Amino acid sequence: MSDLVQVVLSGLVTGGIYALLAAGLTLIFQVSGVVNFAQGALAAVGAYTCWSLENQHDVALVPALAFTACGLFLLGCVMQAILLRRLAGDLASSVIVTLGLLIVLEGGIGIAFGYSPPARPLSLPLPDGQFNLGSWALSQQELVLAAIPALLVGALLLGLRYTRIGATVRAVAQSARGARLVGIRVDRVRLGAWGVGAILAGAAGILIPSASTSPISPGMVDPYLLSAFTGAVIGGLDSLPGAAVGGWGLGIIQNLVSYYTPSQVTNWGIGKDTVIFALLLAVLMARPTGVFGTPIQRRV
Amino acid sequence: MNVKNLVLSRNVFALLSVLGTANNQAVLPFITRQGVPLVYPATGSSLMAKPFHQYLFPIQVTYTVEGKVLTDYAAKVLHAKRIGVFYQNDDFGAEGLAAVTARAKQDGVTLADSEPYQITDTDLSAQALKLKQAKVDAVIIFAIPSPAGTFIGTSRRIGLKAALLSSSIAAQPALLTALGPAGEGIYFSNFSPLPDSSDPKVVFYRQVLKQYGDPTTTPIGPFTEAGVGAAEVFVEGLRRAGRNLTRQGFIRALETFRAYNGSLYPKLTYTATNHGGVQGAYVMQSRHGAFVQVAPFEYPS
Repeated sequence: MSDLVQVVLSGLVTGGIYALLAAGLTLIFQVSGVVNFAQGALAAVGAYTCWSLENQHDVALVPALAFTACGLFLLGCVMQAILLRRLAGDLASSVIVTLGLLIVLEGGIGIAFGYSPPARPLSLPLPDGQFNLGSWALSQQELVLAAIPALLVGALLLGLRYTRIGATVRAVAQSARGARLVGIRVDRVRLGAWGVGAILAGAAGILIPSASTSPISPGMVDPYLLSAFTGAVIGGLDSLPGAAVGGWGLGIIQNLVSYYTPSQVTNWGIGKDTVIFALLLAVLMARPTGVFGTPIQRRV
Repeated sequence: MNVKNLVLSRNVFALLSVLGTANNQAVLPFITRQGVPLVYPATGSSLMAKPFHQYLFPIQVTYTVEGKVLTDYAAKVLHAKRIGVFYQNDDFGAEGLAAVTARAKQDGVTLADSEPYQITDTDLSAQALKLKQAKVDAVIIFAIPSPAGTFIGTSRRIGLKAALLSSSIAAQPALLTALGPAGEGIYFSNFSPLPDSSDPKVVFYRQVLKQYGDPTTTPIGPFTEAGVGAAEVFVEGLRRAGRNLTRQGFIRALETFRAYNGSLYPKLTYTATNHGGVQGAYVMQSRHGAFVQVAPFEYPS
């Protein structure tokens, strides 16, 4: 049983990163209609910005995080204002542009910092001990890593639900035209959504080195982004809570499948990816808008 | 595509260091048709030397040799009775697993469990838990640096107490610093001198980096050491080929190497029928963020 608890806890840590990426993807998609394939690159930009401030400019962690968040917010706004604003509604072009941004941002990181991992790590001051819950000894580090995305996504959802700004964002997500008619500055809301989406990506990028205990690298977020996107689609791209839950759920399911699948079966190529994409197909066939997404309704 | 561009458009004389087993296998038919020598395919796959390829000059020790050396060390020095393997689910990992499986039988130790991972896996706790359940004394790792780091960190977090031994592929100083205390005491195989050694050849390597390199993009470490060492082999081949340089002349010149010790790599031999590369490895251990050699070179049969 304690192994099962460990598998679920580790799945929550990974799923939390998926949830952060998925929440950012979904927020941007809902408000601006763009699927942001550069979300992973924004995460890497966040990780490298924080790393550079701490290790190259001797900035303490908290100010480094604050500055990184501000910088990412601005970057997200610039991406929307200059590149994506005119492509609202043009899915094909926005996919191409965001894919191009992915390549440019990751390439830019490689040019600025090199493609080899830097000698000094990006690590957060996480506790090292164990937390005893009955007979289960849980890693404090993993508990904190699982809690941080929950707090961030929770804060976002509460903000969207209970604040005036959140109400305007929801209005634009529901109907940009309707929002304009009632005087909401839709362009500004979209800028803000891109900014917040970039911050969520950056948070994921900063957590990944601690969660995976591996050095930062320009492409380090790529394996997470595919799963995050899958989780968002399963949860529902038009439901931010659904996308986040999809991310967490995917993290746990991946771990459970990995744990219970014999290695001989995995060697045949049948493993968690098979199960996840089978699940994705099943959800898309049964409920194309996702488990928590709004069903498409047509007048007949 | 890049190799074709270099050969057909840029008309390069030879190639130095194509990275990865799959990439090298992909370009091999093309360079064979074009007659272009490739020195240091950057992979330890045995497929680079067997079957014999006239235009390939591997240097890196094979994963098979590494598997044998690490298994011997686990069995004979660490006295492990039950070994586990954590490996990448492709040719690289499969070769390492096969080598450990065979050598474990020879050394009289039990291969208790083997756990594969996909290169896209982001969480390796399931594999670490299953190896812990198998009560292994030692885990031999055939993984690239990032998943190796994830596995090592996860293993420590979940309380897997086995000795961890890894292929040289993951022996990166940046990995040790990312792991922090979890990176202490990990064993790695290696086939070139330690980058901080006082060996004159390594001193020369550091001088080259200082003069021509950039600390950001070319830091001192195993990867830049591999590059400089490969270049040394390449340049010696050019020197032996003489002034009237042709591709065939360059190949014949490389095939005059007999236990060549003039580069960072020891005892490099190439003949007209065997381009095997380095045939041995030693074991080092991570201590306080650095690597320390803990066993002499072994040339396993």
